[in-house]
Amino acid sequence: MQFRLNPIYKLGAYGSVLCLCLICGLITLQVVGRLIDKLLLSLGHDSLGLEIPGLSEASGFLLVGVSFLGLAYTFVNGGHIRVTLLIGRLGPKARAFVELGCLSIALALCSYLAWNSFWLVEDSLAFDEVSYGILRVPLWIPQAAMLSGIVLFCLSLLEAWLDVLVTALLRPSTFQANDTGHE
Amino acid sequence: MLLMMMVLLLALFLMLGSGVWVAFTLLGLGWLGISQFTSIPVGDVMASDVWSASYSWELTALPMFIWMGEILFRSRLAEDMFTGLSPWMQRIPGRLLHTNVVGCGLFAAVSGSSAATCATMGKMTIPELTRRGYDQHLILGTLAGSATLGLLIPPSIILIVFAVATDQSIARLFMAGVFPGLMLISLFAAYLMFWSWRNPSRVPPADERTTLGEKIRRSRKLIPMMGLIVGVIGSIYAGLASPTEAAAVGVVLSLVLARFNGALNWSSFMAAAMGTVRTSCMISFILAGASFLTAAMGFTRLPGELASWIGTMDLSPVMLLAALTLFFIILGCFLDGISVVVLTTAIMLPMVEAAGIDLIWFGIYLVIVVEMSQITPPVGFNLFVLQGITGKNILQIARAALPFFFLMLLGVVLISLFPQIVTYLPDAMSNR
Repeated sequence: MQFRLNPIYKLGAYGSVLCLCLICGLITLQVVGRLIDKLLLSLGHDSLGLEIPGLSEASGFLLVGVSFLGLAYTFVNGGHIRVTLLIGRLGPKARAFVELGCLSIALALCSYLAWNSFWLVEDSLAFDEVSYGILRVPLWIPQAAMLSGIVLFCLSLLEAWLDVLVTALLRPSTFQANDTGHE
Repeated sequence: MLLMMMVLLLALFLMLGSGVWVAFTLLGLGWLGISQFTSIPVGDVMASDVWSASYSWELTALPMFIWMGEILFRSRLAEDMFTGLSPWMQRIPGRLLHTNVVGCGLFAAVSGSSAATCATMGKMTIPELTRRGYDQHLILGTLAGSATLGLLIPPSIILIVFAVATDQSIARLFMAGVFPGLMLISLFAAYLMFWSWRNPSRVPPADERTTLGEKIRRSRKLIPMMGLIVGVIGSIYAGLASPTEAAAVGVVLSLVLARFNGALNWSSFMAAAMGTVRTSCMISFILAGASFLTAAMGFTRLPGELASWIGTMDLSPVMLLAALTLFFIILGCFLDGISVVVLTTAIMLPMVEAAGIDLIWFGIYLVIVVEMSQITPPVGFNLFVLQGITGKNILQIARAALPFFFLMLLGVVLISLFPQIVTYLPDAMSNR
């Protein structure tokens, strides 16, 4: 099926890639810095103290970006795994309705998660919560990344749900499931 | 308690069977458990659990190692490996079939996924070995079997999943996987030699002899790969870098390596990065769901009850492990490895701990059993990959892989009899 909002999902995935690159770059810098320090020490110089403070904290929060911003993109590309062993044998009509059921469950759970994540962000803002480490990052920033990823995921599920709903109601016998990329 | 167990089990099978995505099945089960059987506000728990399961320094190793594998998958590593390894294998009974086993073992040491190992090596060795007239059955069998080593030999994605889900040290689990991995490689190689000794007529003659100098010259192609393995695994073992740091440096080194063998350009870089996003989003969402399910199960006290129920049965550890192995093999026929691992850790961990089983050992045991499930029909990832490459029927490939299934079962028996195979290296690391 065609996802109309595909560019937005892709944008989310680019966000994920950006976070990936940042994590990788920062950690590599840290390791190189440590190597230079060790080298200097062994040569009898003073250490330069090339450390990136709070790196583990920052990578953890960037990881949130990686994991959530790309969720919708992963979904539209069939990246989330499911068991299609049984439903793969169904005829198009039955499959259309089973698919609708699956998407309804997923959409309900995802919206529920989005709603509660919203309140999580809201709470963090209201109580000015910051992370425990030395960076003291306001928690709403990474949590907002999580929320936007989940909302994007909801959108993509909604699009798929509507599409399957229309097919199931109007012309169920033409339903074609796309199981490529699935297990 | 019985009612709750029945309801949850039924819901699990119903949702998984009807094709609800695994991560949503876990979230749904957790919601069901908390909302129907406790008085705890389910929404708050869900959001805060998904959140706290999603940011951690340890978990950052996951996308990094996936990325490293994606880059190497797109480089010319497999070709180099075949050229470097094949001259050494000509004289061993079974000849070039050993490149499948050793090649998969080596690739497993830079990649964390069994399907990627299978696809990378298969693309290269299936045409090469078929052209030379090796037994088709055995080519597919060795490939399907040895590619599962990607799960066991560090870096391993599934070991990271287990470590994060059970709060164990990734570094120790990685080290625990080294000797069992080598043991499986030896078992596979021994089986190949035995088979070739029994069926000499079905092994084609060696290629023309190469001189020692030529062999060494060709093996130089293995150097970058060996450097990568030693750099990543060695720095973790020596305590120079945490798994996350080793992974990030591994990504940079693989990019350099791919650059030098001419396989890196903007489009392949983006393809690798986007592939990483797909896999790591899929896994981390499952992990988030699993963390919520674990919390939910804790509230319902089901795993604890299950543990004490099993405790009253007075099973010996051997009996318990035998029963678990059978259970996992059946489960693994229908579920992928990550789902098996997260379901196990959410529900069965207290039971395993109560039986006095070491969790590091249990992780390795679980991964070997999951490896077996990679080659059992109807759902086995390696079978799908090989089906994709060769177009052969999945049952045919599964039959070719059957001897390797039994060899891994033997491996499980061996690590149960001699748990030191697993625990020696992590103990040596922490005693240093």
